[in-house]
Amino acid sequence: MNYFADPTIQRMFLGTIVIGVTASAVGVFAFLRKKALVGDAISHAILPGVAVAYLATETRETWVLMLGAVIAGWLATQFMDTLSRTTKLKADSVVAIVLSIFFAVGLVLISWIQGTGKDAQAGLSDFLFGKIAAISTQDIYAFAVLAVFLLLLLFWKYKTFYFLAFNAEYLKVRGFSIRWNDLLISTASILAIAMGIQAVGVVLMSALLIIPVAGARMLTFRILPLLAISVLFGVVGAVGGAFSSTLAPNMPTGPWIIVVLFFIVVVCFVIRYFSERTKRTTISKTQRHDG
Amino acid sequence: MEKHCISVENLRVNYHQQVALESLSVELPAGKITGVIGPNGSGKTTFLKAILGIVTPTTGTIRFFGQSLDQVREKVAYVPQRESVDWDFPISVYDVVSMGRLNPKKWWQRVGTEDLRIIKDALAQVNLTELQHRQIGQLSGGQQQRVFLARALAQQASLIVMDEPFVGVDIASQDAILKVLQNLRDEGKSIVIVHHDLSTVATYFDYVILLNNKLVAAGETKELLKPETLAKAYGHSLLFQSTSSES
Amino acid sequence: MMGNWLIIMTAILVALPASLLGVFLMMRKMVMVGDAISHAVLPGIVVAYLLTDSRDSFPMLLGAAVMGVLTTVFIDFLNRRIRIQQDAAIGTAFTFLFALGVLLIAFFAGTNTDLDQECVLYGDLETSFLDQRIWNGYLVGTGAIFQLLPLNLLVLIVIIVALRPLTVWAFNSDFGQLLGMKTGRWQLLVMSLVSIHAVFSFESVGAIMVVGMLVLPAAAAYLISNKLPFVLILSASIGILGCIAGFFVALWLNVSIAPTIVSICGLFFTMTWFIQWLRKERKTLSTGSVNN
Repeated sequence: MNYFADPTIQRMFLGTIVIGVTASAVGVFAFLRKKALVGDAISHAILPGVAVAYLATETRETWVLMLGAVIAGWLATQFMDTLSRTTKLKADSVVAIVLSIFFAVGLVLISWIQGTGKDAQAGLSDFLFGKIAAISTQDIYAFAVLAVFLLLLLFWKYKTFYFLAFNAEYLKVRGFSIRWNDLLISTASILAIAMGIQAVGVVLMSALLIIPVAGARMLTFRILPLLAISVLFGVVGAVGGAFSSTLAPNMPTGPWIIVVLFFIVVVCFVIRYFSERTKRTTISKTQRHDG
Repeated sequence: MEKHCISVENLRVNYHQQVALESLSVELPAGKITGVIGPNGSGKTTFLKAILGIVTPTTGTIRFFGQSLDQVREKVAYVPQRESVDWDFPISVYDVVSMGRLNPKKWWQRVGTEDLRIIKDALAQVNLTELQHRQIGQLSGGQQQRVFLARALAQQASLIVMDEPFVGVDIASQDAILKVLQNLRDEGKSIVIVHHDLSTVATYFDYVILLNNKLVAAGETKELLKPETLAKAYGHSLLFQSTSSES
Repeated sequence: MMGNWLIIMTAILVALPASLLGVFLMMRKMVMVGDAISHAVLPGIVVAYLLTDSRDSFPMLLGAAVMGVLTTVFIDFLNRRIRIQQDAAIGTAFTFLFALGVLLIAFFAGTNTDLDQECVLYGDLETSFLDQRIWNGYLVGTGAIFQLLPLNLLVLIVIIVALRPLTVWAFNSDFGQLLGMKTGRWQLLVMSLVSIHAVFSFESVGAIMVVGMLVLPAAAAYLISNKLPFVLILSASIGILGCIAGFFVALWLNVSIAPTIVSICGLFFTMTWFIQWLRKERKTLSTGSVNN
């Protein structure tokens, strides 16, 4: 087919697949640990990091901007941690505070860069809603290496993360370090988010972590199927969204991916709804026997 | 064999800049079912979390079988309060019990055949074998409590610490849980239970410690359960507590 | 010069109701629901613009506000019936609606110049003073001010009249239900006000900056005081101060105004937190030395 012979299109699909797999796999643990909105704060908080990295180096090499993004994301998680430890503010306020401060500063920086007339070459506003065409072949190699690294980490530690999310206090009594494992989960989230901001944009990137697993959760409660289905949804959503965005000119990629993912969730919901109705009758029969 | 499963010396815990527990020293006997009793807000759960290191105490030394917690972690099992558990969490009964076989030093290991046998035994002991593939939210209150007891069994601990295991559990299940606990005690295990319902203290526990932000009394249940000692711990709330437990 | 004051006035009219409503959202642990609402009204606003091709279609904008309230119902539904945990329910619902709004804008960007992706992020405070209203030869305000003024009055009246039931709802919903209070209705009222605010402030500050105006002054005020009336007054003052300071800083740096205002509010919050933290450190140090 001609469509797939185009190297730009090939790059686009490869890039979105790598991002979709990583984000949805890491997202399962962010979801289980109830950090969905923390991911939202992290992805918004990445913006000033990208802007500062650009201002400091005057290049828009992917790895430079990624480094800025990761540092900003890490600072944001530390800030959230400190705020919840040292104040009486509740978790949702802390998330909203950090999100809005970092994002506002990022927007100020970007509007400043635009004011100096440099943005024409930087194209930093593409980071807001994502532009998949900005991804180069080298970027994809780098993302693939990072993705393998993150997936290995998950494969190696998924049980600890899973049990930690369910019952942290128990693991603490058993001698696991909650802080260390939480740090690993949040670092993995930051890396996955930073990887996706070029394609999906900071505003919606966190959804790529959460929506696949939210859909998968409607179909199963077992951890391994949950992981597998989430990754499948992540890939379908990313590819489907990227494809849709090429149908009309000047379409941002990020919003399309989210819309496709949401329709997957709707389908899952319908399946769940009907299976629940049939199950309810059978369960009520068996429970009578248990007493 | 050590005589005390837990010895606490000069424990003091501050919580939100208020004193939750002050200068508490007590020794709990090994091989018995011990109740930690006190009115609401008396620091029972804080006491538990402090000795297990979940909450960091301001001062105090805690010994388990004469050793520090780090040296005997594998022997100590913790059963959390039912309300603190997210029952919608995507996890099955089997998975929760298998947590007991997770080795903190070799956490990448899968469940081996020996582990599997221990998990199956634990499930059978609390009568949950048939329900092991259910999601934990689809169980009754008593069954849910037994899941966590099974996890403690799978851990093969010699000390089981439970936070309010009888709350929200029907009488039949309470008796079933108690029977398992009594069997465990007869095998030589120590059990410590945080409990607030005075009406059942005499039947459930061999040894009792009474808390009200400090140690009020500690001793064998028969000797301790005198109205004067109880009134000292519960004050005026005694009347309210005992009537509410009957209803 | 007059233009400056009109812009500051508009910003204050956005910040004042936000900083007041934000206090209740914060108490009720619903700040992120407020964030979700401010994102979710976007598709409604875009449709309103596209259908009427103007900014002043009051009924259409109210339609967009209903969309915000429906979002909270939708989140509740996902949470209670589908048993999707609340944070994920919020994250799923509002990102979808927001993405839908951005796509609508991208589709129709050519046909309507008033609305573009930049506007969603930064708002349009800079040009709001161009839409001036003249009465008897005197300049009396701008279109944005006349839109925001009734909302401000409404929020102030509701808070003054219903402070006590709102307090019960925010602090202790169970207690309120025990008294026979219809806490659901009070929640609906607050959520409606937040939605209307999100719609009317959209063209001034965009969709994403609203959450900053909701939470930052409220959180700073809450760190300073424990008494609700005091927290409300403090929060409003911090919001207003942030608008004035933010405007001049933005003018000085030649940057976008709305994000600068939120950054200044963020600075106020961070300073409040830092001072408190220093004080607490000193206190624990001194009590520690007494114990030793």
